[in-house]
Amino acid sequence: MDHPYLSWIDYAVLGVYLLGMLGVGYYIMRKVPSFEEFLIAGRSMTTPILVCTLASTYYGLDVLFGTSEMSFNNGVVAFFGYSQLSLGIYFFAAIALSEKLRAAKFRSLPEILERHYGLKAGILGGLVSLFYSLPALALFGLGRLCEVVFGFDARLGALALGGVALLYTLWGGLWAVAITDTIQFVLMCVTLAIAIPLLMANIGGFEAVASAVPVGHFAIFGDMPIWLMLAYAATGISILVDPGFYQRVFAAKTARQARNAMLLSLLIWFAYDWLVVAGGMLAAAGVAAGILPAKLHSNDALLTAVVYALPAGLAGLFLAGVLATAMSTIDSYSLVAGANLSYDLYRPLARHPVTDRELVRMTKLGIVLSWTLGYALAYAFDKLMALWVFQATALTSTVLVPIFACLFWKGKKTPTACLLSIVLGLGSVIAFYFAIKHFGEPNEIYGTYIWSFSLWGSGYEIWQEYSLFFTLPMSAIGFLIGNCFGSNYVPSERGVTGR
Amino acid sequence: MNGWDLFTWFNSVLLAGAAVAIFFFFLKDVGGIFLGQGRERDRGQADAQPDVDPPILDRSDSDRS
Repeated sequence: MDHPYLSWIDYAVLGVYLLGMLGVGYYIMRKVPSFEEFLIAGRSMTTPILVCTLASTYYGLDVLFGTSEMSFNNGVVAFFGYSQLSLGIYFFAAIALSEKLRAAKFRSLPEILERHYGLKAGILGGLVSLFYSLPALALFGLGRLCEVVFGFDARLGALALGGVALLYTLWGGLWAVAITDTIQFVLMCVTLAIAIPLLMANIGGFEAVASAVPVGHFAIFGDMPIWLMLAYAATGISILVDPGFYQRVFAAKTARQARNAMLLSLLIWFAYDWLVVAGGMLAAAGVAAGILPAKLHSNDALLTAVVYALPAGLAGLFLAGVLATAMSTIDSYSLVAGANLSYDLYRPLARHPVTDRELVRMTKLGIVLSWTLGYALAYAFDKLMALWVFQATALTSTVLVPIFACLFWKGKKTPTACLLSIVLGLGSVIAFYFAIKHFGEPNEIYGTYIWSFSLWGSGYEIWQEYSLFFTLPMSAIGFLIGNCFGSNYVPSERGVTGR
Repeated sequence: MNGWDLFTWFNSVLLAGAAVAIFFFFLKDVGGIFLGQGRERDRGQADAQPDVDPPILDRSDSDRS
């Protein structure tokens, strides 16, 4: 607990923040009596609440540290070539998806598959969604943060702070998640918006940056390969089937509020992305000027620079905001995974009508299980980022095609089409990762695997990030082949709360 | 102060301003919801029917079998 730039006021602020999160969860516990309240907040979320929960959930430690690390090393390409391209996909999600999803009154993403393609499709979708929602990366990041900033053991830090997120999620469901997300959202945004101008004043602004970093740091698209840029943009595709995003759309009071929330979030993400990028570049200038430690790791650049720039108290608030970025991801995805277990797996497979109270109990059990699994995975794998990319690729390559067929294709859609699409999509993801690990070479600069080969005299490279270019078409081919067999699924006459 | 500085200032003001404004509206909305005012009003217009099957999003007549 001995940090050169932190005072006791900062630690006190952090303590108050953590107690506040628990207090919110405990207060809301009495307000969520039913499953619909617990999971989708009684479909009564308005635009401001949705903006807060969307903005804070999708911006985790990967953005705060990953994007700033990229700008520290490569400059403004981190903003123009990496962050902003995927915002185009988010715009599409706002315009094209929110109305269709909200109008259909579903409760979870796998339920869309179940209603259109039958029980097996719903179960497979539930399993994939559950795997995707395990909060391993966020728990690992939280532990690492505790280790770097507070000098705690990482596992103990993840257990304690992740435990706070677990507790308030168990107590209050989506309402607790949304309200804590809101507090976390304000902390994240306001402290960053204060810190970066202060840092600019300390370092000497972008004129100091220009004299300290290579000229290429100001090239809009840098020297990033076009296919890699497209691959980074493609990572934004996962939001089109992200169960957390779907849950928030289902929880919206109206489709219009869901769409407006998404559009407002785009504005927030735009500003937030730039400030993170600016922070990374200013940190690079701070190192060059000797203001910041010479051996500063690029991954810790933003955190160190901001804590240096902020006065006592505000630094504590910023750190609370950093903890918040991880906690808002942990709470949201633990809840989604809990609902996958109860609503998408237990409910359809139970041999008796499932009551509302039973669903809430099973969801809470699912939250604990997913959190525990996420924690175990966080410390079982060395390459957590690779695991996260695999989770996102597996989800996108299995459910995107069948879900989009439900939303946008009025023609024939058979259960076989969905099942073959999921199986071929998942199979191709596993085959791609196996091939790239087997034939590819690790690249330290980009932190990835690259498979280089020659064909008919020309040299080619396949990066690990290109996986979706192969796996999504395979999923689409599976759907088209499967659609030749059978006819549309006709749902049975039963309620969603019973079998 | 160059263009990048101005862009950074602009985004700082945008982010802080948006966060504070959204938080203000959030307080207004969440108060209404938890006091039960919003909830009762919503019930009349509710489109959610938790105990019935949600409709299939679309199905062409020609494919119905």
